[in-house]
Amino acid sequence: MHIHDLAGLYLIVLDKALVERATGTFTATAVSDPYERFYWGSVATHQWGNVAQDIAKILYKKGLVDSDKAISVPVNEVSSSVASNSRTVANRGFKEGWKPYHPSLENTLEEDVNSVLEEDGFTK
Amino acid sequence: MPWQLAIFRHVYLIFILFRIFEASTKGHSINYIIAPSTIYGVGTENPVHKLSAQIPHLIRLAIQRKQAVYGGEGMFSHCDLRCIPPVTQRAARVRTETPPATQKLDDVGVLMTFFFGLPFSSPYSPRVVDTMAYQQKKKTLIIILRNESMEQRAHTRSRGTLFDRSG
Repeated sequence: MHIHDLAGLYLIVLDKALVERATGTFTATAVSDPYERFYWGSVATHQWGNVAQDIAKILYKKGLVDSDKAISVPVNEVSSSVASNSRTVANRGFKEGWKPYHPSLENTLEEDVNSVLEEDGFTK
Repeated sequence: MPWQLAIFRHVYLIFILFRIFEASTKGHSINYIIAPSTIYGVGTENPVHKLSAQIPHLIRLAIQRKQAVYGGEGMFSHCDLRCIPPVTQRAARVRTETPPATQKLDDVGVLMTFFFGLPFSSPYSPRVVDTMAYQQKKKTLIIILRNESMEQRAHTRSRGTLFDRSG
């Protein structure tokens, strides 16, 4: 999910917590389902293989990689966080009125690339 | 982080979550938990950390190697949770050396939803499944799936033990 959409979800949950505290709606009594205040934060799905292909195209245009295609490497050569499986639906967040509206991962990838390049000193 | 360690990190996190949930059910505390998936985009308002973790990692790796890469087969990076049971069945078989119990693909224990960091790219790959199963045996960590229907899940999701550390 886009970082700004996540911020929106945090605000919604924070608001909910403050309201519940102020109104005494939710006191620290035993609950039957601890998951009722557990919120997934997810909007869409993507495949890391596809993300890598998109990165390849962007970086190739900038002359930073030798090929516009991504290749497979053993999983221990990349962070496990980008060779993982996760599919969740943020039902509780949506129910609380969360409406993510920021661009998709694919549409912000170039911005991410530019920011990384800037931070790492590739561009001024 | 080596992927073997990553497994333990996620298991560790799950146990922390268990503790937090236990505190909730016993009325010791009120907890609100947000578990974001992949975060992308630039945190323009953040004065310190503007970048996320996963996407920049892939970008930096590509620049470093002059070649964009992805781990493993890269085809099913995001897989339905129903992909997971074959892994755990295989793990159980390796551990006990007995045939796996008959289990439908829909019999996914709810806690598997927390095990979102399994470090392989395709749960369908027998080689990866075998590796995972072997590692679980070696580290005496086995994930036991709750054998219940999707309907039962809705009623029992806050109870039960899904981890067997006795091996």
